Amino acid sequence: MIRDKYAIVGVGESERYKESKRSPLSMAVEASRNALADAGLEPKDVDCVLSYQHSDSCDGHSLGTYLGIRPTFYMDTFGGGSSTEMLIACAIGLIEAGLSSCALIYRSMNGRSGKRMGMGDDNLWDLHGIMEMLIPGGSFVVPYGITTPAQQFAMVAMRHMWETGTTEEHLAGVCMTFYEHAGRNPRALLHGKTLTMDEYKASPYIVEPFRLHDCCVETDEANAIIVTSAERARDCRKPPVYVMGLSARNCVPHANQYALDDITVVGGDYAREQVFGMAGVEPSDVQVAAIYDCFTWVVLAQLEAFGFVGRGEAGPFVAEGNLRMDGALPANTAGGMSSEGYTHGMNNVIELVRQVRRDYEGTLRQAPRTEVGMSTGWDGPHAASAMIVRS
Amino acid sequence: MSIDSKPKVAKPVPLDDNDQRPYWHAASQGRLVLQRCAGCGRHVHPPAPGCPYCGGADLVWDDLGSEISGHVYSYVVVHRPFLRSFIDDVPYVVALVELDGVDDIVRVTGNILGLENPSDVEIGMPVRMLWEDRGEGVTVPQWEPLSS
Repeated sequence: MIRDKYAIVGVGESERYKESKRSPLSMAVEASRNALADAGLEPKDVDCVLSYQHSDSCDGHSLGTYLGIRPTFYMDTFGGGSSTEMLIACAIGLIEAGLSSCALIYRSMNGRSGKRMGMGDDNLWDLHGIMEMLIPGGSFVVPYGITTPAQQFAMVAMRHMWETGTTEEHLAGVCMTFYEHAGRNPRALLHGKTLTMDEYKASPYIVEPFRLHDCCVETDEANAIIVTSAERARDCRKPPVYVMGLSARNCVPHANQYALDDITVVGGDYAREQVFGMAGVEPSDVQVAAIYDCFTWVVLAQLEAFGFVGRGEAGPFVAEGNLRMDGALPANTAGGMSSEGYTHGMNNVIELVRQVRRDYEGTLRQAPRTEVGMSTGWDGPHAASAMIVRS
Repeated sequence: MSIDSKPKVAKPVPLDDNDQRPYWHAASQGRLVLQRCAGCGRHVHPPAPGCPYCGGADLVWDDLGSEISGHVYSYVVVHRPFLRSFIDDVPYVVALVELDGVDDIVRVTGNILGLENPSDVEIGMPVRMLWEDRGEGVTVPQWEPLSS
């Protein structure tokens, strides 16, 4: 059992941009230096470099080189959501095996000025590759005009909303809550952006049922976190955030979500037992959360899949204000991917660490109770990661 | 002479590989064929090198012919295209349609053509299959509303 044997000891970011005019390597170096300083570590203390990317980043060996790290293990895995928790699991496995002692995990991307998830069908996103690998069964959906995550997930959302009675007001509750949190975060892309229900409903559809505000932001930035053993964590600068449990890309039974008998079954339905079992806690024990929020509906789906609420109850749960700072489950407290920044999940994990460490103590940004926190990662509906941490 | 000043961009063409070639070949003939596992009997769609239900390796093809109907299990309406080739179609419907007349659950994705308004689509709506010639030797199954 790895419960409480490993910790996140440092987090860091680069500047956040709409157009960085910088290389991913440059931003990654900045984020990593900030993470090392946060941890009170030197580059020589790190021997493992892990990242996730969509062929739009820098490689981990290069990052190590320009920081002054010679890795004994490096890996740049292809992926987006779910990758942060998955790479934390990998780091733990490598340290358990004696192949590493301290891991730097990063994500760096020009996700707004460069390769964007929601736009551009040219060579940046190779259609052959999309049909061959990125979308299982892609030849049977791409020719009909389904390519982006928004389009793919909307099909699942539409069915879920029809079956459960989830409404567009329920979706709006998610972004309205997270924009409110971004209002306290001067570094959030949408800091100061307010949104009323009328404004939400007046905003244009991207792909029904998703409107503009149901979709996360896109930014240019880099994020970095440092993971090591609980033993080594004692020598670090900040209070360690201990890993209690993990689930790493736990999958539904079919890689092609549209081929499931029930399209609304999601990875979290399987990750739930694994992560809570390992952590030895229940959903009701989680006091602060970072729920993968590429789209508002995805937050509702995960609240149900991970057992925070029953099926169809996530909409009302959020509408009642439970994800707010004074609610039962403060979530995405820096604004999330909805309104802070978008690195496919790492910015959510960084904020969770800051909450559990109580970096914001004495300010309105600090969630009241943070002994047990949880992040979720959504690779797609088909596979979920999750991590439960404690102070 | 065409008055279009832009060349038309072709819609994406399905990949050509041994698992799915029979499906698209049948489509070019205006027929639906579906793979089936000879072991457990379930249909396998999209076609694949193995059965996702029992792991079996023995897959055969059923010819379901040209009279295919189904009902809408889910759908989306795309308002912002990612693909240039769909700019003129926006807003367009993509539906996941559950086939009638098969003894298990099989769902086939397609656009719903011939709708007055995209907002006319609803879950449960009955549809029938037709085949759309996209030019350059490409034919794809599609759906249209089935008037009751």
